Amino acid sequence: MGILISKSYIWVLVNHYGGECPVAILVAGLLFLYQFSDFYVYYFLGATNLQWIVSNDKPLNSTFMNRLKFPLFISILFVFIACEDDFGSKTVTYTRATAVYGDLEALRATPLIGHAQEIEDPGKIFVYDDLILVGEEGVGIHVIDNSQPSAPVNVSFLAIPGNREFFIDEGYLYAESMYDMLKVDISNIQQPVVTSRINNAFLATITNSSGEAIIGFDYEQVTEQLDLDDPIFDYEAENSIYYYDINNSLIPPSAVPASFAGNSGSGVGSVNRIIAYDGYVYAVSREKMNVFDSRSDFTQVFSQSVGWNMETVYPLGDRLFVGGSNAVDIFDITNRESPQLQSSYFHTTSCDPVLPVEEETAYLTIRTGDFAECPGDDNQLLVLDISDPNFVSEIQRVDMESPFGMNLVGDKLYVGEGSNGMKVFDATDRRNLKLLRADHSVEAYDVLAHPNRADVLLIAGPGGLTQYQLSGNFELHLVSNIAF
Amino acid sequence: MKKLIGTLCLFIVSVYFAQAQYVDYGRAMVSYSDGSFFLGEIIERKSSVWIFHLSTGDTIHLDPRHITLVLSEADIYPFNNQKYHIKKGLFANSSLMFHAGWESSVQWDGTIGLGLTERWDVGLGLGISGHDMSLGNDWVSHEFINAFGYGRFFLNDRKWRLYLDSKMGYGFPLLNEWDLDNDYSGGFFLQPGAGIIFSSKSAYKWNIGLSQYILNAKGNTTSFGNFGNPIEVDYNVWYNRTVIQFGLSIMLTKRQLRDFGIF
Repeated sequence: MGILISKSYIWVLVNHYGGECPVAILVAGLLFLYQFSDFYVYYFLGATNLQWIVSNDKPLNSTFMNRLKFPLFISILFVFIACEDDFGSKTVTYTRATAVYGDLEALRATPLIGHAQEIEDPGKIFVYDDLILVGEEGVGIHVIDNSQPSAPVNVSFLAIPGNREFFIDEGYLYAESMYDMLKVDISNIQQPVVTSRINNAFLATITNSSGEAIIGFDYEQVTEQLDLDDPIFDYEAENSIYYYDINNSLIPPSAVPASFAGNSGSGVGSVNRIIAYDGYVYAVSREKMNVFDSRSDFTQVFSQSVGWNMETVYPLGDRLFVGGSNAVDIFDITNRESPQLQSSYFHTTSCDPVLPVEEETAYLTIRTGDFAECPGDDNQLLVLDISDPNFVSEIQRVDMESPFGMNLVGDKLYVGEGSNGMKVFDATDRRNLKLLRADHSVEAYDVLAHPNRADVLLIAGPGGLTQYQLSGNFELHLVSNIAF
Repeated sequence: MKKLIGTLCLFIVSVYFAQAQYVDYGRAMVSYSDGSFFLGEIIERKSSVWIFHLSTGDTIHLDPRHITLVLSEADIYPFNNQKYHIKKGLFANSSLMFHAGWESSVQWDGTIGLGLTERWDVGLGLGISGHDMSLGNDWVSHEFINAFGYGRFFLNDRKWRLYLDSKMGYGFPLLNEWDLDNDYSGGFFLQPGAGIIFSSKSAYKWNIGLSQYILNAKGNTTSFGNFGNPIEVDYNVWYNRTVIQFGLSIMLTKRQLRDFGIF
């Protein structure tokens, strides 16, 4: 923008106009001057930049100029409508993850067996035979002897750095440990042995310039005041070092207060990220699926990005059901080592444990509102027809309050409703659920049957893992509580 | 209380119309059915003929049956080609404004008002507006019902009549039940500006102007980082952007109002 004032001319050169308000105001002033005076406007076509000359000399062809007067006026007005100077402030609240660096090899050498210790930050819970294993988020697994449900005893601790998810099958514990996948023989729980470790099964080691590996993250809730135009989120890249969403490859932190998955004679829990099936182990991060052959040597046979925001995995027949935040993806695992996406059932964005119960039917809970990761306002239990592998359809929809995990025990479906209690459905007809009881006296995030005791029900809630004696009319009688 | 207000309004309207009844035309602009028009003074009005003294000095006789419009020069600013502005009267305006920069705004509003003097107009209006705003990496959109008072000051009496005006009021949020994540409240609204009303041959007059759209909004939204990580954002922002505004007004003198018909 430049201005040149001479004896008889006002030159206004509008160059490189960038929506700046002072420019608009100046030109507006000149327009007013133009209106109040006898000035005429010349427009020079062919000029390099838009160039206006305002003169008090009457132009030679005044009729032509007068015809131009109005469209020119309108044109100039349009110059201003990009002028903006919004202001204000914003407060952002987010979880800041700060990388923790350390000696990865030293962590890998951590002795597996340790002394029993207090449960402080419970994650995964698994009921296996007479044992209850409770994950300590990112640290290891508590081993609790539950041979006497009325008096469970915390007997030892398995130190598995970085662990969040695990699964037990036929005497073996399959657990992730940051970048690695472990297979642990726990047939003698007093002397567990790591039989195999696949280093960097999930991700190549990420190191800093000092050669230290990322061994975890510190999460912190942060609130910051920002100017209006400041970016809401920013990722600093020092020395052009790229950043990587490590949780897309590694197992992310648990999304519920106490995720729950158990193994019993009647079924498997619905919120597993790692599951063993037919000699193979399937593990899903948010976007990657990993398959391990556990029949003899424990080897990784598959690792690919196959989805987005995956949360749970469940096998049935030749199919693998993967629950995500807005879909259930069904993979064909006829070839166990190479899952192929077969079909998807999309639903509203939510958190959604999925539980296939037979070849033709699956149950799906969708939950919203409790966590920022579960946006929306739908809380439902859906009965899905999965008989056609290429087309999943809805058979029944049951409104719920806040459904979390569920478990089918015999012909009864137990669904944890979090702070809203627990619901029991008659699932004699798997495709037509009937509500039998809504119990608001407990806070249930997941429900599991005792592997060896048909009359004992285990419920995970914020107060810990509680065991109940189940009466004929589904009333719960407290047996014991493992507090955490 | 209602009776008092009703009586007061009735009184104001009655006085307004009563004044209109007794103002004589005097010097006037007279339009004829063949498209011609005359500026001058009405010497005499009879049922069969109007005697009209032209501004050129000539005296002519007009057949009242062919007179389509008579406007007293006391009420209007007459111009060439039969165009005019009214000096003081009632107006109703509908306008569309928009801002089309990196972010956008649009508002459609209606204003009714009256002239306090030949320079000053006041009025009341209601509009509906929609805006979007960048919060950095994310966007929010807002819709409001804008209720406002209106004031206008005319700077000249030319064919392109310049004015300074301002709307001031409150923007009430129009929340979308399908977009529960976008929760916000409205706030103070101010829109000072300047513009031009173009003279015309009828009561309908186009106007165009520029103004600064200022409106406060507070709200919260959930943004998601590159990897889907949720970020709660609470904001307190002021829209402050230049808008261009096109409008169409019906501007009537008191005398015209008495005889006004849309069709």
